[in-house]
Amino acid sequence: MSGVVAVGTATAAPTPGAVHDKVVSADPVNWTPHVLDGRVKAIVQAGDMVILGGSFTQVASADESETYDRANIVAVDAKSGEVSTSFAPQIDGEVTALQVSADGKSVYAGGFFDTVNGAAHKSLARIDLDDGSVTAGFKAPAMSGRVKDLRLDGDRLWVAGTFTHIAGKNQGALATLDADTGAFDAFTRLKFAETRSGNVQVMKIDITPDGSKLVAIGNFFTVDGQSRPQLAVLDLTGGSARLAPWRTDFYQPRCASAYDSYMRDLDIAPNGKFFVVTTTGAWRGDDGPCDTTARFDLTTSGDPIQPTWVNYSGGDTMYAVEITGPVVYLGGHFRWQNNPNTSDGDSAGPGAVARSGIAALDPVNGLPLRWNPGRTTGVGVFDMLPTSTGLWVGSDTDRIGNREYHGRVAFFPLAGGTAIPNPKQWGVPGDVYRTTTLAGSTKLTKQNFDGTKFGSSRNVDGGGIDWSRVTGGFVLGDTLYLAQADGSLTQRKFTGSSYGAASAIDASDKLVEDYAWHRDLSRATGLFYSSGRLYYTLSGQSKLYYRYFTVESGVVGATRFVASENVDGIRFADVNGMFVTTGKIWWGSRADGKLRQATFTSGRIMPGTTKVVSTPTEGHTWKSKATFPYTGTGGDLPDKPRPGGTRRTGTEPAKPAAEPAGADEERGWFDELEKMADEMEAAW
Amino acid sequence: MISPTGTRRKHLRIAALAVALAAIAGCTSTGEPPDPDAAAGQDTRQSAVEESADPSAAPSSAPRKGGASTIVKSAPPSPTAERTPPPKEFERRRVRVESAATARLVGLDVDKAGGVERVTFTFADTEVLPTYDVHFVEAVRAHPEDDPIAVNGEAFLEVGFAFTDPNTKGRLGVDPGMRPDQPLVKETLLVENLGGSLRFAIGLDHRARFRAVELDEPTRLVVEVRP
Repeated sequence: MSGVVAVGTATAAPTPGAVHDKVVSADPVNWTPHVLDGRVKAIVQAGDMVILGGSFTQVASADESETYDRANIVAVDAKSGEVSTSFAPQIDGEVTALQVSADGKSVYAGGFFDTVNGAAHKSLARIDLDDGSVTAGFKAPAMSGRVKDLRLDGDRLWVAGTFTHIAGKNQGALATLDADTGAFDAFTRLKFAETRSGNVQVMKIDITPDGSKLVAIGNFFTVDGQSRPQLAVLDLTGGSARLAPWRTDFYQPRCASAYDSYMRDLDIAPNGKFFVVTTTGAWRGDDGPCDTTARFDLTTSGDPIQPTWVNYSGGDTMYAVEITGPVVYLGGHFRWQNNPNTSDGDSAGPGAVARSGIAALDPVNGLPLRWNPGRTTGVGVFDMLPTSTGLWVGSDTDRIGNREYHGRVAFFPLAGGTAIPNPKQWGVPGDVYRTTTLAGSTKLTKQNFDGTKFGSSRNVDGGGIDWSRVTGGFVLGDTLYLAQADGSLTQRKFTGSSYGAASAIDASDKLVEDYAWHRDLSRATGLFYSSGRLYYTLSGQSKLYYRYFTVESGVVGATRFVASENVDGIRFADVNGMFVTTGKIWWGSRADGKLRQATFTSGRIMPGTTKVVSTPTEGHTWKSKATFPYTGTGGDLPDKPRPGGTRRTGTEPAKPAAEPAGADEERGWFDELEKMADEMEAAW
Repeated sequence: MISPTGTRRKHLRIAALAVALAAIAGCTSTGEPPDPDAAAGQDTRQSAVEESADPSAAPSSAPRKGGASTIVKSAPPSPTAERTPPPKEFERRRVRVESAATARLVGLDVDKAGGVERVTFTFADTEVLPTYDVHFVEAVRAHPEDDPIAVNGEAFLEVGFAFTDPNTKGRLGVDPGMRPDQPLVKETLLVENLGGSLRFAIGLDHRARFRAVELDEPTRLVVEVRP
């Protein structure tokens, strides 16, 4: 959560971090200097200079041939990592927050210090970048506590912290100053109050790129007398700051008693439409705010607003969060992500994904992306800064990126990074595939749909897949995903007439198999993907379920959600094959074999919009193991399977096993698994 | 090794170390309840703080050749220094032993044996343990004015060392965070490493009795906790 400012460029609005179009490389560059002790708490960039703040005493050159005494702040060249010898201010305590001035020639420093260059400057100072001297003309006001975060919005400097009074005014925790002079600015007189313990504090703030909103987190529970448990959104569009009509009670519950506030960091997305918050707090179950990362929508208003998604580490702290557009980077003390199912807050539960101290999340659903450089966790990562060329990371440890030595600061370049796939989601008009079972034989067929009526049904090459064992499927881009009765989910290349080798979607099973998910798959009766979610129906269940799913990493969310109960016009227990197109959900009915559709928006089915689209003809009903639209080229893949479809994967049956005996064995196995799960749940 | 570069810098270093020492020793500003058993230690700390003193001192901004290997520099241990050994009994009271030794931390191990669980700090470059301080805290913090740090467990022992370099060949020589799968010791975490002042937090299942045991060859401090 830091800004990037070009030297000499005046800015009228806050300066968000750079927007990226891909995930940065997992291999940090080797030219960054090493901070030799302490911790790096803040990172900003001004032109070609990167400034690091924190609590440390020495910095070494990248090749470790030279060391520099640096008192809690250091400037380095953004391209070479060379330590500046002209900028070496003496600050006698931790620099917790930094903000680049509008002209890019100085930085505002806030933190746990009392003097700068031997003169009294308690908690806040403005320092020239050319020589480290205190900037003339800016006089920080007296304050009763410490500065914990800073933001610059035009000519206004926002100061957050632990103070109760500033410039002689009874203005606690959050105040505004004239950015040029440091004089008190009455733009905000909002009163943050009511804590569980200790003085009120605002720990972190961020401002939307257009300067219209500010989000604050801290230990407060009210703002101007209105309930705002630990998080408040302010409206900055008027003549003074006002409380926005935006409230969440997600952070109302307690976590561990040691924390007056378990909030740790927040970052607003570069588009200003959402923000992400991190917490500590110790494990308190899979539905609370403790040890979480959560996304909230800023384009809405109301009370109470629920998080868009919540990602659980399973008992470990998240600190720094930074959104670059397609990625939410996360640093902390954690060992896992996607870990709501831990049994004790100190172990990986079903579905957990190993991520040591640093991770990249999919902003759509909060699931971890593949990026996994790893680091020795220590206490955590305290700040990250995305720039036009990569991502700076500041921490308290010295191993990161496959355990390379990088003393407390590392830079992950965009060069060598990876793009996040955004595969095409097929719709209609086009071909619709389904399975048809005739005389005990299940085959894959397709019919063209012109938007109003279906053409004739044609058999297509089934690729050697035993379609009688399929429980659901969909195509994204040129990849066919199939769920099977053995509880597996596989992916393979698909052209409509040829099939690539199957591989298992098992990224969430590497540590502890997510048996509940695989139990669901074995009993699925319909399955489709939409907007970072896998929606599915289950045999005998009157609900539409979903789990999060990230194509890039193949991680499946460890929590099952209910998207919808039965609504007028749809009984989910009757679903037998299901797909989605823009604004529509389509499903075949096991009761009458008809294909129906209804309006489907934002994961919800509009009641009363159901209509029959197609009825069974010539024995071809819409009762299907998998129904999906796909209008590909029909070409062959280089690795087209041999005639007879003898290629198998470990997730496919060794031989066609449509016989009841095989199915019974599988059901028996899952029944055993389900029984075990029930016993475990009861024990927990 | 870093060579001294003048009296002013040395004075500031001493001042910084003294402040760090005081931070290790004095936790009253962290909100920790007063510890009536620590009175003697506070007297000693006071004298340590008085040793330092040149607030106007400032280090050079120029680099020094020779690489980064240590941040610690102090007078060598006095051969005549009198050290009070730690109590042998398991208690919950603070244990603090003063020393003029400088040291390098090269090992941190957690194990259990004989009905106790042990956290062993192993040192090199010294035959005398550096100043150490072991005591319970209500919340673990890297800085007295900062927010609590999450450490696994229900009770938290802090083990602090002064004049101690945690690096070996410029790298942290011990794992800054370990989570042993033991009944009592749940986590060890390096929460402060600044200017030769180290503080580790030991997360415990409960507020158990402990004692500090000093061992030689190699020089070790063993914090034993008993359920």
